[in-house]
Amino acid sequence: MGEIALFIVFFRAIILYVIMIFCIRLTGKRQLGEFQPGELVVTIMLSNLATLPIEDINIPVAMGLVPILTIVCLDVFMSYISMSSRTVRRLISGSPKILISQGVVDQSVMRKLRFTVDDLFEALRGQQVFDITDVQLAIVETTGQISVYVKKEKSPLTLGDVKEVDSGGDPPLLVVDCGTVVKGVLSTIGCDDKWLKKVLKKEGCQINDIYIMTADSEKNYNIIKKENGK
Amino acid sequence: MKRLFICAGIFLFVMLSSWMSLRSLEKVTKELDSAALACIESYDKDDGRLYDRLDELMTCWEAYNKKVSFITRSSSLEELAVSVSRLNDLVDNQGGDFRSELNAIIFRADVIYENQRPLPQSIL
Repeated sequence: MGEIALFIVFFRAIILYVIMIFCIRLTGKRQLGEFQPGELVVTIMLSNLATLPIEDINIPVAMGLVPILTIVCLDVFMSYISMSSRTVRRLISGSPKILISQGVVDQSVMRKLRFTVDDLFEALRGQQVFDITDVQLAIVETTGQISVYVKKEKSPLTLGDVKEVDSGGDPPLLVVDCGTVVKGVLSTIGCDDKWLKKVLKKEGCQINDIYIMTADSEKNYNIIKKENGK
Repeated sequence: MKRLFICAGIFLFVMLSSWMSLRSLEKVTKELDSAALACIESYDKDDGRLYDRLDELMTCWEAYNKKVSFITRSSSLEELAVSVSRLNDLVDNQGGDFRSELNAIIFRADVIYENQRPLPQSIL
């Protein structure tokens, strides 16, 4: 029974791994970043449900799959309902709260959110703010993160403050990855195959010789060739 | 919107498959129960058809085991399997153990079915 049970656990782990990746993809990319309260609940429940049929071979896989799929579907339904109704959105996710306005802390909000002074200072330090009077506006987001807007006179100087700068210029994108042209990137940066061939001719190399090639919309490029042609 | 349609499809599929598994469980439970009752009847009447009925019960049990293992804990099925495996040994005994083992099979199969039904006491 030992070997059989190990194989059962092995196959179940594969099945549930694939299903969980599918489910996380289905819930969307938001799930991977900061959690809304509902998303946190879903993630905790999913991780627990997925491990049950893997650990206990007495439980059929269906007993794990049915609740996982049901919860994921409910989460997607709720996110669509939240999208169309502000009331539902506020009910599920809450609403952002202003914690500091014009450098003055709203103590009633602090009490309401059960925020200690230490929590507040920790969050401000995390945003590179060390003096509370420098804050124009601090908002507690529904994810629990604090967004801080520093007073104009305390904001760091930017290039835009001292001179007119060209606002364009996207960062360079990966065009060739290990000898293969990345699909769709050339059109994104406004180039085509002809341009790529011209660059390769100029650099005196084949596409297979390239390890990494990046380029931007200004047609600036950088090529890293493969070591020893491998 | 594509995601919403996929989820609606999955949700319907889960609901439908849950309902179908319950119907399937009801069907195989009834078959197993009636096969066990037929064995009891033959045993009580001593009509000479007991071994045929026992073969029918074994066939029903195999179908039951195959289907139910997908939806219930294997420990519940193990208890039933033990009862079924004892039947061949008990059939020639006259102590009434054969009859009580058949009753136990009916009872356990009914308990498995009742536990799968979405009744308020099961859900809460």
